[in-house]
Amino acid sequence: MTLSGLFRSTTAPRSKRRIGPTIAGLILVGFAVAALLCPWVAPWPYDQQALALAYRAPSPAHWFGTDEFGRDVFSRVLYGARTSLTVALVSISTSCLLGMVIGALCGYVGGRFDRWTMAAIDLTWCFPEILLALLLVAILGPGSTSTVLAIAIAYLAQFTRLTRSQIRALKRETFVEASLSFGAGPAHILLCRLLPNAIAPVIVVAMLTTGDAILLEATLGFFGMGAQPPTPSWGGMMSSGSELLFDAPWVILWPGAAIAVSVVSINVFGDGVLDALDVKKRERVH
Amino acid sequence: MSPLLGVRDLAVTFGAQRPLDDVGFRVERGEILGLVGESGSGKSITAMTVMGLLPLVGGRVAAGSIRFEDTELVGLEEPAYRRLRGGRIALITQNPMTSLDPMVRIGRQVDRGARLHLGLDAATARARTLELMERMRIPDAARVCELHPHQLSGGMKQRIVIAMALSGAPDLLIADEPTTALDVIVQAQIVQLLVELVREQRLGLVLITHDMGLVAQACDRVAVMYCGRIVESGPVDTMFAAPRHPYTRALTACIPRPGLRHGDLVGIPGAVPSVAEMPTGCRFHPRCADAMPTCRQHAPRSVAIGADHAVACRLVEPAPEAAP
Repeated sequence: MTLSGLFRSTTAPRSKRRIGPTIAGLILVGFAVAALLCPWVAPWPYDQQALALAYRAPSPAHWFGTDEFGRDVFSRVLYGARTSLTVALVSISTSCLLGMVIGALCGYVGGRFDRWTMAAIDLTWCFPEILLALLLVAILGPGSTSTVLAIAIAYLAQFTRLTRSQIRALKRETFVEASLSFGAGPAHILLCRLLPNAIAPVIVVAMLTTGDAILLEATLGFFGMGAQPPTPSWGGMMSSGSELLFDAPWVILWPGAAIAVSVVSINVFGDGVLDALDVKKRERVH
Repeated sequence: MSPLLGVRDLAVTFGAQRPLDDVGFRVERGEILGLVGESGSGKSITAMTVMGLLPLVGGRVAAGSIRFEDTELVGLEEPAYRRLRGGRIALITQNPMTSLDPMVRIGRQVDRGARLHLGLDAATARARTLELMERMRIPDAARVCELHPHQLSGGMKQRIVIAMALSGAPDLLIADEPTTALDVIVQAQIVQLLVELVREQRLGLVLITHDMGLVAQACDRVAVMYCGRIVESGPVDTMFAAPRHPYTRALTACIPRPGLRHGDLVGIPGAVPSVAEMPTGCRFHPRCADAMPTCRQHAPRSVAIGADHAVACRLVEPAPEAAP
């Protein structure tokens, strides 16, 4: 599916088509391509040190300048996209899938099962994400795996609650009663009636949360709890750049800009998806 | 021969409340029974109870029996009930606007009944769907199959819902106010279609409605409900020509007819009491013009007063009896 196709088919009058989500989508595709192809696209290896060239300002040879070890910041930002985006995507997918399964079951089954499971899930809301991540890093040691786990757990309650409330509301809809009155069993009701109708807002929240996840990953990286050097991550790069904020601002600015642009793009794109998933906006025929 | 559906002494409880009490009626094949009453009289709960969907809304059958041909439905196991639903008994739900899954194309929704209950494969089921949709006078059925529910008008949706109900080839249809959400012209068309279906395929139909005009037009027999009890039941002609229960009389007086002068049409004073504070004795007595002191204390028993005509009222059965 092409991006422009996605938006054309859904927002009915073509003139009113919003350009923002399309641009945001293209930027995101750009980031994804860069992350995938960085060994070929990056002009320098991410870990090639040249101490003589440390803290050089941006130049034709090093577009974004060099860092404290003389490494090319542009190449490191590209490789950092790989780390940061992978961590964000994997953690949010995990969190979203798990949350949907638990939320759907809780919403559908209800009763004591629902109460106890939700109480356990809500426990994760007692900790700020950073504390939760610290706890996990303390147990598992720093690295991408613990970052993924920490982010996944941090957002689990949100997805579970959302899916659960969707399912609970849908359960009372007439079409579910109608489906039951035509002899449908519980599995059919849950998988074919309730989940497809509940999924749209969950997808949108998942997209918007991916932006938060990138920020959280950067934060963890900044505190040295994320991907370990020499593997570049945007947060980690900003952390090392903070030492010479005023003398060599490019070291911290470029990864910071990458974070900002990707988070804003995801939010704008998620907004567009929200419109696109609203089936009812499509015109009426009969 | 036993009737298609026979309900006897049915009582339903929701916790301490008892929205249905002593409900009894029967439906034969090829017959349309009108179940009439104001909002809140227990009509929809009766439909849910027959469909076995009462636990869904938190209710329980406390007493009585529901016989469908030779099967007792009260206490029937869920898997067996599931085979009956859609396959033998189908419900035409109240609001066509919300009775269809918004995410699924019309064709697939109608196909399901045939696939589930008749075991047809996709192609045969679709052929049956198209046939049913043409039967329901849906123009351009093949194209409608590919649409989503929001692309259809209310009348179309109601036809689709009926086609869905028929998909599993049921013997008994329960239509819960099938026309309330539609405009008058469409109402007449839908009712006409339902009547034709019942006559042709010898189905049983319980038509739940509060529209006495509709009852007069379509039904063979009528059961009038008030506050969870059947107050009078009988053939439609008798009921309109010689209603015996004050409530039925009041209801028939509420039908607008030609020749009425401005201001002649009167309603029934008061409102239906809530389930939580049911009046004692005859539940209609606070609103009844002919109420006697005894009506306050004793619930009247249903008495047969003619061929197939039964009334539960002191005026008809004066002899007092033990309190219920």
